[in-house]
Amino acid sequence: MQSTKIFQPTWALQQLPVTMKLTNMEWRFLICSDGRATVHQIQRRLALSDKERDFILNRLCASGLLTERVVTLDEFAQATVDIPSTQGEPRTFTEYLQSTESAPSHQEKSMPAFSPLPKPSASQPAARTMSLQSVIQFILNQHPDPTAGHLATYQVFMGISTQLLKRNGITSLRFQDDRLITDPELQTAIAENIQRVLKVPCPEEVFSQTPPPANK
Amino acid sequence: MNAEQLKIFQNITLAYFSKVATEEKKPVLQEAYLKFDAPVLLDYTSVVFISGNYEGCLYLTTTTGVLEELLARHGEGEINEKTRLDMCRELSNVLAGNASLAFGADWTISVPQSITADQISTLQLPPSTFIMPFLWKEIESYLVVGLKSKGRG
Repeated sequence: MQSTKIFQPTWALQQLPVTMKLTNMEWRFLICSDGRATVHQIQRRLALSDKERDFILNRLCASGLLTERVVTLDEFAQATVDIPSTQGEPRTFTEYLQSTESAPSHQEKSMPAFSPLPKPSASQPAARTMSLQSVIQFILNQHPDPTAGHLATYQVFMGISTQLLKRNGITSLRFQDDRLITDPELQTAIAENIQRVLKVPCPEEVFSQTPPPANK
Repeated sequence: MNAEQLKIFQNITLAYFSKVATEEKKPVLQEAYLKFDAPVLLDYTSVVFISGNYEGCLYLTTTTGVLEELLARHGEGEINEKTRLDMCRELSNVLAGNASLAFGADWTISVPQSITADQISTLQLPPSTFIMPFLWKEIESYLVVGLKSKGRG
């Protein structure tokens, strides 16, 4: 049973090759797989059918982008608390551990089959870009209830100067919106407001590395 | 403000439209979004100001068409600016009552105001708003929450 499993990205988003391409839903699934949400929770959040869920999950696992996460008993209980059992009997932690499929171990993991990761220049620090969709998904992932997630997103963004948002072309925000934020001031404001509202630090996973333009 | 309070507020406000026209399709909440520039304001707006951990407002903004539908449902034969404004005031009272019911435990709720399109410039609204569109009689109206930190302009 896939739905109670918890996956995490094998590679931090900033480690992924900048040329790597996935479908919009695959990116969203990857970003939602934060090592806390179960497959079922992500499926529900993204409104995927079982078939779509399995297709995306299989592709991301086969590409080596997702790895099943081994969890503590507390984490397991927390993650599965809202999932009704579909097999009659509740699953035990041992069954859960035994049911892991052929997810690659961290020792064996191979690089995804995409173009090699460009190395950042030593002399020029690479600019960091923040994925707005990753930020939104991170906030929504903190709340099992969609309305609570939307409200928390509002509380994060209402703490940011609208002038700063508008300077970055953000005059409105839908929860499926994505764009890359390169303005360090806005990145900092978002991170600070995530900390203020959610009481957790903004995760590194929302950032990716943009190589600096080559000097010619 | 928490999600449960917000859901109560949404449900009881939309329920008003369902009760007025029981035989019609119920109002349908659309996907919410955030807005950071000029607030969304239609022909008529009912607004209450709130104060608690944050300060701000709740408002319902709608079109002439919706108010005229509501007037017809109330059996009002005369449709003109005066009766539309009366209907807007009725919505303002409903909004204030609903806000008190949903948020009254934690928030101070002001007396409601009814604003027409030409009075919009008198409104001082927070710059960031949480917009909850809903469709009734094929017309989109907006239920809006606008909050700001206390003391912030």
